[in-house]
Amino acid sequence: MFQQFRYFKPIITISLIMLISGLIISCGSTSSIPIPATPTKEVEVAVVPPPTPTTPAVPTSVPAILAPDDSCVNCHSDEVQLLLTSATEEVEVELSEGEG
Amino acid sequence: MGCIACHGGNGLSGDKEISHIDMRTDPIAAEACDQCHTDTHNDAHSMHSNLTGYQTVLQQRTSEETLAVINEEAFGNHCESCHTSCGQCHVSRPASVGAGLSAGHKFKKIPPMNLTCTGCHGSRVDMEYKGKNEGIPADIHWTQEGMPCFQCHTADEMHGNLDFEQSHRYDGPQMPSCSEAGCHADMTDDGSIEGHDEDHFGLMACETCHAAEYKNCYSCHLEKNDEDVPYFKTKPSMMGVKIGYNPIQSDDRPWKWVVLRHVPIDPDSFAYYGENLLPNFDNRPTWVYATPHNTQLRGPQALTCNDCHGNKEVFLTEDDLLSYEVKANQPVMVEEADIPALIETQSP
Repeated sequence: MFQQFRYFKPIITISLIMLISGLIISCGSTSSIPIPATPTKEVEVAVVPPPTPTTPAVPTSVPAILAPDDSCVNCHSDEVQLLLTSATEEVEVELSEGEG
Repeated sequence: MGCIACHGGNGLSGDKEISHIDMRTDPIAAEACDQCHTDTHNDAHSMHSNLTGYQTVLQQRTSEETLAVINEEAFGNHCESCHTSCGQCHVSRPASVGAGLSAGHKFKKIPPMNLTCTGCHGSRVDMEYKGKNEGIPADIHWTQEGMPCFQCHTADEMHGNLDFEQSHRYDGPQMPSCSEAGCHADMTDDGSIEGHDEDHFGLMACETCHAAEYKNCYSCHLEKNDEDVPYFKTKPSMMGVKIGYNPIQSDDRPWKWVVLRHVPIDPDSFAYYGENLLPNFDNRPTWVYATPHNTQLRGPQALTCNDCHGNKEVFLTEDDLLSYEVKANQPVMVEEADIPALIETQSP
């Protein structure tokens, strides 16, 4: 029986190593384990107390220079739109000679 | 802040043409930047912006009538391209070197040196400072310390935030000053350093010994082609050191001897735009006070005493002048008799 065990000993050892390695890798991997969705918290809305005689209202600090119609970024961040509306680049020929 | 606050335009329209009406790629400082940056910025007084330096030297070489002719078209065609604005340093490259945002639309408090400072000041400052002129070493402030421009040149200097009116970049005290900036403040004429004695120290600007060969430019001619595109032509530049008399001697720059650089002005520089537009060409030297950006422990003119003493080659004499510029350079040209005499016995 001991002779049979000696015969199987390397196979058992290798199998154990592979099993342990597999366990370690699977523990470190994040891709195969689904991440539980974080429960959405309710947004807390700050309640601004109404002005009272002792606490005068403070105006909200909104930058006056931010125009409400400032929608430039809508187009200027749209690559397809920019390519469609872009002007053809003029190739300038360098006429000057020598160091400026 | 939104885009329109600085760039203008019409944000209500989705049509490209309509939304871009009254839009400015490069915002005007007075209408945009200066509204907030009142303490740190002074665009109107910055020579990078107002180009006063050009006007100052042109006024000296022109008459009232001919300056008006130059300002009518030539100045705008050729000189104003060197104008820069707040955004052309802090957001993009200057238009004169191709524009283009430096890093998206990020505002850089300190502009990127390679894209802005040396983007414009390239053929002389950048090539000298970084040792790009063949066979001539880079400035030791660059090789030993890697010092960027702003480490010597302050924001106040760049922005014209000064307590005096500046009509030329060498007006007022030295900016930067080698000794007063806290770097070489221990320099004296006590002779503890060779050459820093009473006979030399107070008579010579630092660069007289510490500059290596620098670039001298010649004969700039301004023209337009058949399609009205302006361009310039200059003759090949020459490397060298020329010591001469200080043309702007004052309490701030008291030295007798300085290094002089040849500027590319020529009596016919503006000839395309009219006849004899520089009638007072001789009012200002063509070899001008210079501050080369290639500081060495010793320049080739100061390796030994007799590399300067008795060495006519390093002094600006009449032999170095073109026929049309002899009169203009009388204030800076050195008479051979005034060249310091050869020293017979030199210490090793």
